Amino acid sequence: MFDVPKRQHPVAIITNTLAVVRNFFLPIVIGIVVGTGNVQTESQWEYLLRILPILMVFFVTLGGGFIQWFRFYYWLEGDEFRVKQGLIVRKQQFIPRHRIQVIDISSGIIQRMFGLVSLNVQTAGGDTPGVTISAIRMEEALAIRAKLRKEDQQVPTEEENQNSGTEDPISNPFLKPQAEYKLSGDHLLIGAATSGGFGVFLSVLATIYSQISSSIDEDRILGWFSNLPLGDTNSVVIFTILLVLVAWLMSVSSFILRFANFRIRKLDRELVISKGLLERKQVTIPFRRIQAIRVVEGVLRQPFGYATIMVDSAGFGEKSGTTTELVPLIPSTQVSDFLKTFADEFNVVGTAVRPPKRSLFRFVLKAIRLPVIIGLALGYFSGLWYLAPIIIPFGVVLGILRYQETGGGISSTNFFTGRYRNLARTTVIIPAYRIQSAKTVQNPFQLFNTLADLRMNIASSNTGAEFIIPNLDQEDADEMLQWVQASRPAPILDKQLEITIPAFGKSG
Amino acid sequence: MRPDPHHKIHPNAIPAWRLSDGASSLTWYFLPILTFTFWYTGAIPLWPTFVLAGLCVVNTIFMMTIVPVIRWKRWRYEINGHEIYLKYGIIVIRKVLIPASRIQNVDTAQGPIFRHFGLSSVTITTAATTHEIPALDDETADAVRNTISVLAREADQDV
Repeated sequence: MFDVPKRQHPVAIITNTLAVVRNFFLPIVIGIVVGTGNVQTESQWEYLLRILPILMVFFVTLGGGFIQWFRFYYWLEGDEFRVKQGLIVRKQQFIPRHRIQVIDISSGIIQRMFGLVSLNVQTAGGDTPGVTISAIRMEEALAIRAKLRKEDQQVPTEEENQNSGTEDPISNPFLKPQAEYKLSGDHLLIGAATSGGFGVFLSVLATIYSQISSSIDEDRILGWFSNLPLGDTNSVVIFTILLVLVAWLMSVSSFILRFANFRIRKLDRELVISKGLLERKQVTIPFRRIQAIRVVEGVLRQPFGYATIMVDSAGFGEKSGTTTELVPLIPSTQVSDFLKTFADEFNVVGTAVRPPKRSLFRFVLKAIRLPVIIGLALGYFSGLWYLAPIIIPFGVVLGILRYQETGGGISSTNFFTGRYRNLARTTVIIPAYRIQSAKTVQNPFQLFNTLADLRMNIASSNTGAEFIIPNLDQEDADEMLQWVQASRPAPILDKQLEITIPAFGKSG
Repeated sequence: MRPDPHHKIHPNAIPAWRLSDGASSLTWYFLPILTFTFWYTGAIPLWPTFVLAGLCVVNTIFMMTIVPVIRWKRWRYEINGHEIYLKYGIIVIRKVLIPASRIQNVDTAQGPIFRHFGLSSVTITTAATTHEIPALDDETADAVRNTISVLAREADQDV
């Protein structure tokens, strides 16, 4: 049935095209806005000329989707699942049956419209990235899965069989998860409301607005700008509020699109995360690739006692590492339990040291830099001088918070635990053997105050990540630096500055 | 507190840096040249050219006199069986510790100026960061490279 190379269902053309569109979403939007933004001509021909680039982009992506479908063949040969694809670069992937780790059947909105599914085959070692057949009939997918099923795999239990047989074809037939966590509806909504991603959308909206507005009536816009400091403050305020509201709604919907149906499963050697509303995305994180775990308590989330757990994993083979959410939203009090279940060794509690009192001035000084600049710039350009005294205290508060919450320490199991705050409070947990290099850095003022920044570098994504614990006592920072040695000399930290981290869900 | 790393880099680094830093400080002279051309076309007055040229000359003098000496004095390194320990920096002081088991690559490199003084630099790469020990004499650099690559080979290959 499957030993002859076969094309996917033609619906794959649509999903391929949409995948391209999704990858180049921002460039396409910008192209369309820029391309049509200035159309204000009487001539229809000129109008056509203007929208020509858009039409071209449309046909090129559609053509690309078609070629991708046309050149994509899959078949089974002996013990191998084989795929060949590509127009210019021809790629053949042979996946031996015993190497297959996960076979996932899922369906996005397009597939559902046509009663189809997509089939994803992933291998263990990661020498080859997984293969996805993006449109295939359900019976066919089930048949392929049955053929690729390993004999030596543990047989699914009765109830699981019933489950996978009836309404949930997505569940994995091979590996029974040791643990599973789903994001509840409440948490999805709370997470969406507090995601704080509206800053990005705000800037995009502002850019689009400036494009559109310039094509409407330039004189009026110029007049609007010159009126800004003088009159019409009300319309400015209303407009700003409106813009923020729209941006917030966009960030809410983007969070829901990304994290609806979020589920994390713990298998023998890896964590498997699936998420997404319209398009289900699957991320596999082998345990031995986990470099660090960070718990991020956002400005909007910490007051309500919620946090996000992120994981840093290293790249391997053709797969690049990622920094991704282990859980997009979880009550801070449950963080410890969650880690105990899904990444037990990372559930550490260690004594750590705070920055000494003499560092408070440095924290505040650094935190008010940006508000002062913004305040002065606003005052200079718009004449709103009264804003500066309003925003500078925010910097002071931020500096004090940073001083109070910063800390770093070593657990008895040789894990580094560090806490710092930029805006969100972040707690990072790194095993000693994952630290690629450690650094202490002292500028002249810190030298004078015998303070030092402690920096820990880990492999993450493609570039690596650096965690900075600022303004610790020079001796403490050095003790933790020396701990990175292979012999792991236990650091002797200042008893008076001792605190306990991670302590989640408690104040301070 | 652990004492500073034991070894100093080769003293020939000072004359080598005098030349290389002096040469690279010349790139800043494009600024006064730029303002000069603006003055020539009548766009701006002449005094910014003088100010910038003065700053550039001061910079070059610094780069050729005290900066290499201070940098050499501050540079320390130590390599033992298990880790590499560096300390360096003119204004901002950095101490770096790299576990040998995390090292992925070791390279030596030598530019024309360094070759003239018989010096090489050793670059150490981990999965996340890159570090350089500048200005070792050739034999030391080769020895260091060999030591580290043996260490790195012995260590487990997992990231």
